[in-house]
Amino acid sequence: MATTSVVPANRRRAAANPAEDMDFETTEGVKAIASFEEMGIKDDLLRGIYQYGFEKPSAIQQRAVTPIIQGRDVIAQAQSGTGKTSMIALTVCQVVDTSVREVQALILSPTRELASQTEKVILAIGDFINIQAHACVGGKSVGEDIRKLEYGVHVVSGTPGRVCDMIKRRTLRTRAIKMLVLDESDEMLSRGFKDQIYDVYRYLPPDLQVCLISATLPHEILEMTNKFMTDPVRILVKRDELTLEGIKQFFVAVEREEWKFDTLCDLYDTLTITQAVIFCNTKRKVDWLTEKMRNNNFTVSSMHGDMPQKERDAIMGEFRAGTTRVLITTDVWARGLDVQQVSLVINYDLPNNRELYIHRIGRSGRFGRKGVAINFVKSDDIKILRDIEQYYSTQIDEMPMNVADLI
Amino acid sequence: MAVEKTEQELRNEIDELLRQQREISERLRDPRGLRRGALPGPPALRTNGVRQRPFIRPGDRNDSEDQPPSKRRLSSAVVKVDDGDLPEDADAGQEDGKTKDLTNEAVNGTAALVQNDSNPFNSHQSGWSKRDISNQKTSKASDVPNTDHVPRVLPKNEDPSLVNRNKRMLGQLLGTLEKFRKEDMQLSGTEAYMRRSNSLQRAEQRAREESERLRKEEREQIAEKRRRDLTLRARVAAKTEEKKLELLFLQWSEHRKRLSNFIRTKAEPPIYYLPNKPLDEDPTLLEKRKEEAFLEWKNARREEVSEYQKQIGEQYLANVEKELERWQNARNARKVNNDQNLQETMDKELDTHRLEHGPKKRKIPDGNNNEDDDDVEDINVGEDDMMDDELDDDSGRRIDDTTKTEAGNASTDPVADGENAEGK
Repeated sequence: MATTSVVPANRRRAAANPAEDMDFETTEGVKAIASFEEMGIKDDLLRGIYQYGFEKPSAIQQRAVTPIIQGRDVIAQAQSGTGKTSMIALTVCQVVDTSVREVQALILSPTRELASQTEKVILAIGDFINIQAHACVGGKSVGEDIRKLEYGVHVVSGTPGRVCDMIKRRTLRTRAIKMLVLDESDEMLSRGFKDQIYDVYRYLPPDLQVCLISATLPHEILEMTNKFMTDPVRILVKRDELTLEGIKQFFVAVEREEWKFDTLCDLYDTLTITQAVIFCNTKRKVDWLTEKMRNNNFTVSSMHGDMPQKERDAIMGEFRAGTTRVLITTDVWARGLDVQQVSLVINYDLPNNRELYIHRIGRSGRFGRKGVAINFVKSDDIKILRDIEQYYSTQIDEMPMNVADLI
Repeated sequence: MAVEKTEQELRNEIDELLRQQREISERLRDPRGLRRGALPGPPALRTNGVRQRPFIRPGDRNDSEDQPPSKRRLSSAVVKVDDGDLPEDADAGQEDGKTKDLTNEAVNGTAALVQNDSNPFNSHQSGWSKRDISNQKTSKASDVPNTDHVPRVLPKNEDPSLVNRNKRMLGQLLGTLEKFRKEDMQLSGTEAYMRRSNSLQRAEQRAREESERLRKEEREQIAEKRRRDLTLRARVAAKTEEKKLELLFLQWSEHRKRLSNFIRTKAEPPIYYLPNKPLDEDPTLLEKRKEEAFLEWKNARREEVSEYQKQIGEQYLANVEKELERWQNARNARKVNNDQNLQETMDKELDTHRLEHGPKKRKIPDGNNNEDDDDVEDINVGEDDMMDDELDDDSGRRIDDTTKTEAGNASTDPVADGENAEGK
């Protein structure tokens, strides 16, 4: 429920609705700074930013970069595809001292592909300040990690399991780390990752700066930040503003599970206008659907967490390059990954929670581009979809099953 | 007393050298320290507990100092051996056990972490109401549809306004995609987009080249370190053999000294006997002749032992060259495979490691060692018998021995003669 006036988190006005829970709002006094120069970014880093293709900071970059480089704890929320990863790269490059070859910033992500992507953006933006960054992720060579970390890097971008292993081996030294970034932080603080995050956190210095970044930050996540953050600057987005206007959302009422496949076949030519991602809820279903599509002479690629890392990397490379145009995957692909040619997302299965819906459809519509999302809905799933529609105050239009007849 | 002390010192030295050998072998077996899960280059056994404490108390965040160079530490250890300042066997044994336990714990921890890492989405957040949860169960039940296929019941296009609406929806969908395509084509041509692509490509290439450079450096370092370690191990092993021969020579000399008190028959088998009545020969001359004969024998055997020790050293160093060559060949063979897929996976690395350091071949010196052990046992038995028979004479002979040592090389001193006379 949107409130007209901004109420500070630590104070409630007399006129406020008594029944309303304490609400989290954007911190008062956060200003938008309209250019990178005005933020006080160092010159070589500015050069890297322009080389990366940025000319003007996005909304979240205008608001979040300054408090982060001032050393504040920050909770930053922004819509999908609006420059959160490059904001992380920018602030990290500004904060680290490149003359000290020690790990000074640690970025944790839920998936290996996302951690690697963040590493590449840091290296790209920090090209002219000679930043050294390493992606410390599972499934890759331990020897490689040891070599790189002993050689000395300024920034580590990793998944929590491998990072914790390197810390315990004493290969990753934590004494100089002054900044921890939790990317996709609602996922990182969820039940699945929380223990691993804590394992890493307790090795870090006590006066650490902590930054949480995500497109979705549920209330229960914001509540627990008091335990490990000090007076954080909050930059939040109301949920009715989370969906991107450039993305058109549709659903097809397929009535029965087995009719999803036929509908997908009808839409295949539409899929390949640009590039498309198809989401299933389980690895087994990804394999099943991939096999079935190929048997019907459709060209698709697929990816999920049980695949060997080499295979995952190859598929990722091909899809980024546009060699393959249709990718069937699980939610390992739902968060953070940036392939700007993706314009169509199909939810073959509806996601298991509301936040994942935002992340999944956010694979299209990157940085202001157009996009389309199509949801396949069984009869008993209609209500779930309407709940999503209402929760995010967005519009999901119905498409008929006989799409082929209309073309 | 002097003899026993010397023997004990030699045994201690041998134990210390064997411990060093084990340490170097362990390092050779795991050059990157992957298996141990600790710092590369093992620290001294005495401090293992301290350095690997994080596995016992994860909260401990004390950073230990950088390890001194392995070569220097081991050289110091060798110097210690010469000085006679040695750690006790019990301590070393305990530390060994402790190290192994910690290593196992580390390996298990690593495995657990890897498992966690490979399943990042084990749990899902639940934002639905109870009714939604029941819906989830329903949808999960039909996770993968059965193969029975029922044709779709497509809606009939009877209502013109509905048909028009549907066409409009489809038009919106296709229109959005088409608009995206045009905009994307336009955007892809802009300078900013191309700069971004180039920037990311350059970053990726830089990361890859850096990774390859570090890998090559590490291979060279590993090869050099292996050469040094193998050479050092060979020297330590050779020195161990020398000490063992020294110990054997000591025992042999003692045995020989006792036999020289008797007369030996020339017939075979030789029988050592002592006449019931002493000969008329001058006691002084007899003693002198005995001493000269013993020293002559001892010097001859000493030369043989020294020659044999030198051969052992040369043999060990020659083995080092062969082993290095074999290891390099195995590595080159592996490298050919690696060129196809430069990506190193942890499992592959460990498998290759295991293959490379398979069962060890038996070395020639070990065979000699066994023979020497048998000889030692025989001599000990003989020694015990002799000592029982000649207890009184032993003390006298030791005094004589001391006197001879002081006298030097076969030169008769009147004072020494006097002492000998008193002894008798």
